[in-house]
This record gives sequence, C-alpha cells and structure tokens, in this order.
Amino acid sequence: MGGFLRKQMHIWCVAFGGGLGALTRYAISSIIENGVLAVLVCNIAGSFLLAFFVELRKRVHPDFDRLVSVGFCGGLSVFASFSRNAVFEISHGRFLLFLLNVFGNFALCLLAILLAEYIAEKSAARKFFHPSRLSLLVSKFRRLGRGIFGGRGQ
Amino acid sequence: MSALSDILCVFLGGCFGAMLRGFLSARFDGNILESYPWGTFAANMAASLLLGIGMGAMLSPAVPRAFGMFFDVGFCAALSTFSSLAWQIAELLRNKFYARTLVYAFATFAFGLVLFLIPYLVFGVFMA
Repeated sequence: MGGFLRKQMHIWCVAFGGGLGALTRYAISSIIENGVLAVLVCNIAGSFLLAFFVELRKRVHPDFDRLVSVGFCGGLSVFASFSRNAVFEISHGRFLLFLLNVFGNFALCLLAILLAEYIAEKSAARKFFHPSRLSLLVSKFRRLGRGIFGGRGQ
Repeated sequence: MSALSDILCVFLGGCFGAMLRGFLSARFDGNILESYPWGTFAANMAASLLLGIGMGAMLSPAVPRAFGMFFDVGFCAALSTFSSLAWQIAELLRNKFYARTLVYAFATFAFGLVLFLIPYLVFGVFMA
C-alpha cells in the first residue's frame, strides 16, 4: 500500500492541488456575489500564478511543480462555468455582457500571463528569486534549528 | 454542518476533476508547436458537456444541493481549465502560429458553448 502510494505520488499531488484550487475558487465566489465576475477573477488569478512561477517551478521537485501548475492553477481557473455563463447571457439577450465576458476572459488572461512573465523576469534580474538567496534562507533556518534543537544537525 | 459538507464536496470534486485532467493532458498533450493540445481540449469539452448534463439534471428539485457542489463547483470546474488554455494561446502567439491560435481558441470557445447547450436543452424539453 505504501509503495503504491509513493509510486503514484504525482497523481495524488495533482489531485490535492486541484482540491485546493477548487476550494479557493469556492471561497472567491462566496466573496464576490456576481458569478461572472468571480469566474473572471479566478481565471486571471490562475493564469497569473501559472506564468509567474514558471521559472521558479523548474527549480523545485517536479511533483510540487505539478501540484501548483496542473493541480492548483487548473483547479482555480475554470472553462465550463465560463461557457455556461456565456450561454445564459445569450439566452437572456444580454449581448453586451456576453461580448464583455468573452473578450474580457481571453484578453485579460493573456495580459495576466504576459504581465506575470514580465514581473518574474524583472525580479529575476534583481535576483529576487535567485537560488543563492533561497539557499541563504535555508541555511538561516538550519542555523535557527540548530540553535533550538541543539547542534546535531549538519 | 452545511458549510463543512460543502467544503468536502468541493474538495473531493476538485480532486477527481484535476486527476482526470492531469491524466488527459499527460497522455494527449504533445509539444504545443507540433500539434494541437488535444488533452486540454478534450478536458475542456468533456467538462462543458458534463456541466450541461449536470445543470440539466439540477433543473429537477429532487437533486440534492451537495450534488451541485460536488459536480458543478468541484468536478466540472476542476476538469476544465482556463489557465492552461491562456498559456497555450500565449505560447502559440509567441511563436507566430497565428492561424493555429485562432483555430484553437475559436474551436474551444464555440464547441464549449454548443456542448453545454445541447444536453441542457434536451433536459429542459424532457423536464417541462
């Protein structure tokens, strides 16, 4: 059983990320009353996250990468509810809202991706997410841990 | 209590949806520059179709609220994705595959609408 769980770890990571993404979307849609707007916000947030961590994700464990990109971002952003909203807008004769919804989703998500890549590039140039900075952080935590738990750590 | 069961339903639905989408995209998404991402496309289309069926079924008052939470907010929404779609469109645009971008975006959009509408209308006719 344990071996099976370990071998299928990438699947459980995707599932867990998807569950978390779905819960986040549920929380957002309970805060934003308007369903169309909630879907738009979730899609933009999902696209932004997916593009923002694209460089950083290459440096972490592939299972964690899958958890975030395939699981969380995919579970957070949604296409089915978007097409349902579009159909209901047409059937209620709200053509302006329909056009706004469709072009808003496609254009703003593309913009979010471009913006996220731009910001990630800038912060990489300033070495904000540079590996040396991360390893510095890790060694600081290690030192702190040694201070608390005694000097048996490496 | 209701809130807790909602959270559980949404989480479980999200888990199953993301697992299925992960399988589809791992199995059928090739290199985006060589072929269309059929896995993501299939996941989005299946989600639209299933959501149409689910929403049609939910026209009946006999269907419990928990099913809506599991199937609509959880499963179908996690099975479909917009972030991968936007990412693929951005990647295609960056590599100047304009015709392929248009075909992919328009096909996803149009078939998604139609596949939601057909089962929903069928259910509406039978329920009325």
